[in-house]
Amino acid sequence: MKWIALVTHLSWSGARELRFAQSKMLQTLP
Amino acid sequence: MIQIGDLLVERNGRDVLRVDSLDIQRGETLTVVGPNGAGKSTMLLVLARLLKPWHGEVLYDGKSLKQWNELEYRRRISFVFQAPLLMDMTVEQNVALGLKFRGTPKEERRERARKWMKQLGVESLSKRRAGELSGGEAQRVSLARAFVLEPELLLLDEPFAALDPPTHAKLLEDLSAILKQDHRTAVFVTHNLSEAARLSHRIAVIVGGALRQVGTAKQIKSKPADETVAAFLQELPQ
Repeated sequence: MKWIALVTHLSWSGARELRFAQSKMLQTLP
Repeated sequence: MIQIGDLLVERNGRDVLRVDSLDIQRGETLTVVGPNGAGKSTMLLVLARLLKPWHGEVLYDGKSLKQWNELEYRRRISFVFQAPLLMDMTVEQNVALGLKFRGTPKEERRERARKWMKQLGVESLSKRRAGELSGGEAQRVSLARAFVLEPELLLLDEPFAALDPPTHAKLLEDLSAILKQDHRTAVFVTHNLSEAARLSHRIAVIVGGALRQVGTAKQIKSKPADETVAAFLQELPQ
């Protein structure tokens, strides 16, 4: 849900942004 | 700006949130408080149009959420989570990402990102990778990323819950100042009543899947709407 929410708030316009966000998302922060 | 009427949200076949009536005014900061699992985050997900099905009416600028074009509506809101959910890129790139997705020209992206990095006190970290930030710094970047979009409605789901007390206090102070100065409409979810009192014009109390009371912290403390609200207030640290 959070992935989708994040990308939609950034501006959903399709699957391309979602794939981009998933590939770049930091899984853990220090 | 937002009118909610007879809202009933179901998840996995059971009712998880009931809101008989709630209006949110433009420029208002409304805090939603309640115990864990009460339905607070559910309300944000409905407002973000991320949760279905629900019954009842949610109007945004007089028009039902169900009638709004999805992209057109979502471009009016920003969402900040408990986890910063940053990308593996620099602070500045993270802050400008939503603008990039929207096709904002590069110079304007840079200018707006700088303005909000400065407002949130992370301008000096602009070239740093997100993975090298502390928890508090990362959450500041996440807030800058939301504010830079200049949303009509800002949704914040316990953004400070994972921070240590001094970091939490400073960030709360800074956000409070920005919201006051910016007059942005915001719905802030927390289980901390003093945090709610500090940030918001009004507080909505959700307990056991239902909106029980809306008022100022003083009104709610001095005259809880029912026994459920009174019991919730008693459980809070004094």
